[in-house]
Amino acid sequence: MSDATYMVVFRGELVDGAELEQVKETLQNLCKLTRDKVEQLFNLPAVVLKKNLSHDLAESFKHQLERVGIITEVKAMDDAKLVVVSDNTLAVAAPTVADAGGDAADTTSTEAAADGQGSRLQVEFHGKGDEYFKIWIVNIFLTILTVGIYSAWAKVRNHRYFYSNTQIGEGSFEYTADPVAILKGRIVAVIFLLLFNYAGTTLPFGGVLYGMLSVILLISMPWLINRSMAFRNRNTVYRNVRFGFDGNYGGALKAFVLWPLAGAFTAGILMPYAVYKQKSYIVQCSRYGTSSFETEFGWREVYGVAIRAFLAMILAGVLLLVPFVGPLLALPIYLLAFAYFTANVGNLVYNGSKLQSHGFDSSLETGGLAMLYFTNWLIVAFTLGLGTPWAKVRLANYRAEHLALLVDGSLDNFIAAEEKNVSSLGEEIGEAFDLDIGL
Amino acid sequence: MEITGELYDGKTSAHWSARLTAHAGGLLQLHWDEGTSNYPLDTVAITSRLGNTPRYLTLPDGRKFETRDNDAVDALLQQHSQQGIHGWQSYLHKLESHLHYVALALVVVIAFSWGMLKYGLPAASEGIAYALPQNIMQNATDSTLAFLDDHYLEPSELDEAVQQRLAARFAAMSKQVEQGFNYQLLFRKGGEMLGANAFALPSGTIVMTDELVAIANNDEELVAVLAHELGHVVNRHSLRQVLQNSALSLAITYTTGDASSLIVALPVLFVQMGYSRKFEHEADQFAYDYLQHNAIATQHFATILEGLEAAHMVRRDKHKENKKEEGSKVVDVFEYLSTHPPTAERVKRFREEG
Repeated sequence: MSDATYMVVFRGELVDGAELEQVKETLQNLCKLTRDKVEQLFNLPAVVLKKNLSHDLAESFKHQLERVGIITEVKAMDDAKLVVVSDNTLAVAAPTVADAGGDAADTTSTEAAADGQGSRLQVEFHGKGDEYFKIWIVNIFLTILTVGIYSAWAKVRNHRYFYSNTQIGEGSFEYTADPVAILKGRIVAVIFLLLFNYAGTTLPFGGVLYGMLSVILLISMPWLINRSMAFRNRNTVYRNVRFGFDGNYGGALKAFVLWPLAGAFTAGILMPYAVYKQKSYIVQCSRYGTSSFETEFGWREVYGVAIRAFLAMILAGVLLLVPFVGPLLALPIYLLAFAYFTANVGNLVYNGSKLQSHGFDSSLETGGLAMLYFTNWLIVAFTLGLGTPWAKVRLANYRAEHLALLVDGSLDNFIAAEEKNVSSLGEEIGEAFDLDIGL
Repeated sequence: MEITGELYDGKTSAHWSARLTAHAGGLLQLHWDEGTSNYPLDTVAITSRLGNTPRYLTLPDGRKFETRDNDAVDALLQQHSQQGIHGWQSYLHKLESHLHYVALALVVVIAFSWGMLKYGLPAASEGIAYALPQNIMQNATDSTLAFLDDHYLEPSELDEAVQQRLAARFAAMSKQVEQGFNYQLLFRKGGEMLGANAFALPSGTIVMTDELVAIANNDEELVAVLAHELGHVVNRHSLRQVLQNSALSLAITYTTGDASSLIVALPVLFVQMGYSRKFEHEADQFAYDYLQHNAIATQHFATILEGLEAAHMVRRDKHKENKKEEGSKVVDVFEYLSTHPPTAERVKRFREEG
């Protein structure tokens, strides 16, 4: 926060009609304060409940307190003749009480505990295989009937099914992308792809055109990635607050083009660093409302995971040389190495990310994930693809079961941002060229 | 009617328990801790129903009401004969929830996929294969041959005179078939991996192994094999195969979504086997016609096919003796998945005519 220079001041005023006793009791329970401290709060002429806030956050804080029945003011922090009763957590109405010494800046930070502080919110997934199968098959059916046009609506319905069945606390995720925007993006992407694929072989000077298109694609890739992420995040809504993505060309260029190139030129030695750069870029540029995600994981941890997975791959490669039994042993090891890498990088990224003071608890397991991949493969292979919906639901279920939000205080304090519309052009071209990015 | 849910104001992530009541004239009344608001139903954007996922009602002042009570929302919309802002999309849930529509969709999708695999994809690949210029086929041939030479084939040890005799025969043959290809016959030693074999590359190059020449009783049998390979060349089989297989993998990956390549491997393998068998039949037909046209007994093709099968059987048995017991099972599985139709079936008509 660049302008964290506001504070919330309480002068003993209550909302019209609020019962003093009731408010005191709510505060006492809500903030786990002793009765004495609540009384002190009301006896002082002016108390700073929270300081070092941006203007927006201070306003939100004020709004929260109003719901409990307390009227506060948002003031610039240069007014120092006030008792500061502060801590810096962003929990709801979590004021702590000064020991009323009368002097400014004499603060005590009593442990504040608001309604859900330190609580763990399990991510829930409510999707069902048979229910999704019906949606999935109708999607394909209508896509065939409309010669592909419906695919944009199909995509939105697929996404909506998985987003809206994902619930944290009382809220679910809403996917709000407009199918018409996706359709336009797809048309542009298809035209570009056709040009790209057939230019080299059928048109005169095709080679030159192909080269030019390749260069254009490479140069615009960071832009495409940013647009794609922005479109996806912007269309994800939780509690009527949109996610967002503030990418920049340079950052995406480094993370998705330059570092992977460096990885390729060093025979893979720098590749885990490229993975680290990509994950942190995606997390750090993402925000929920006005609050940005922050990362705490480092590149050393990614290397630890990558090296172990790589050693397992080498073992599998050596086993492959043993005739007949080799492949039978090597395949499970490949699968385990892949599951190990996916699970541990996933855990690393989630557990090392923060949103305000809330954290994540991701507990993917190598064995469980490998088993899931294997059984999903059996399901899809033996149903000739018709079992795909069940496989997808099982994966989403497993992901949700192993993810929880570590809530510090409450989730009520995020502030919505003013959003611009993002076209889906970037996302669709990205998809057409198989730029699958995400966590 | 009353719908309960959560209310979000759109300014912060704070939430309130709330309920919506419907009143005469299509008026919705929202009740929550801090008050009551009225909204005409037609100003409220309601998401279309999707399975049992929550519904989101966006109110004109930016507030949002989220509820899991799908039936109540549907009843509300029906009562006021509105479909919500998504209009026709409200009918999608009917398709997605009624078993007979789903069954219809399933049948159409399966029939369509089958039709595409059986006719659509092969026809499209054929069209493209015939449109591609010779230089692409030459590039494909050169790189394939280089790869085979590096990994499987050894230089031929065949007598120079035999090579020249067969090459002359082949040159004469190639004048009788479609022109525009860069026909040439190459000799290689098949070694342990390939044994007695012959194969055609897209540009018109045909490779024949020393082992194949060795098992032939006469040149006519080799001519029959060359005719079969020429059938592969003029029908652009190798190119069509590559196009079909890659299009197939792409289509399956696309429909199954983010599935790993492992998932698609098995179905792809089965469909590909079907394609190669069809190509083998086409090439057999080409050989049959060629032999008849040139008054060469079609018997020769039957004889060398059987000879080939016997030779491979011996090679396999040798292989089995070298390896231990458990290995042989794995080999058998792959034999079962062989791309060629059973020899007995192929041989039959070549014998009948003779």
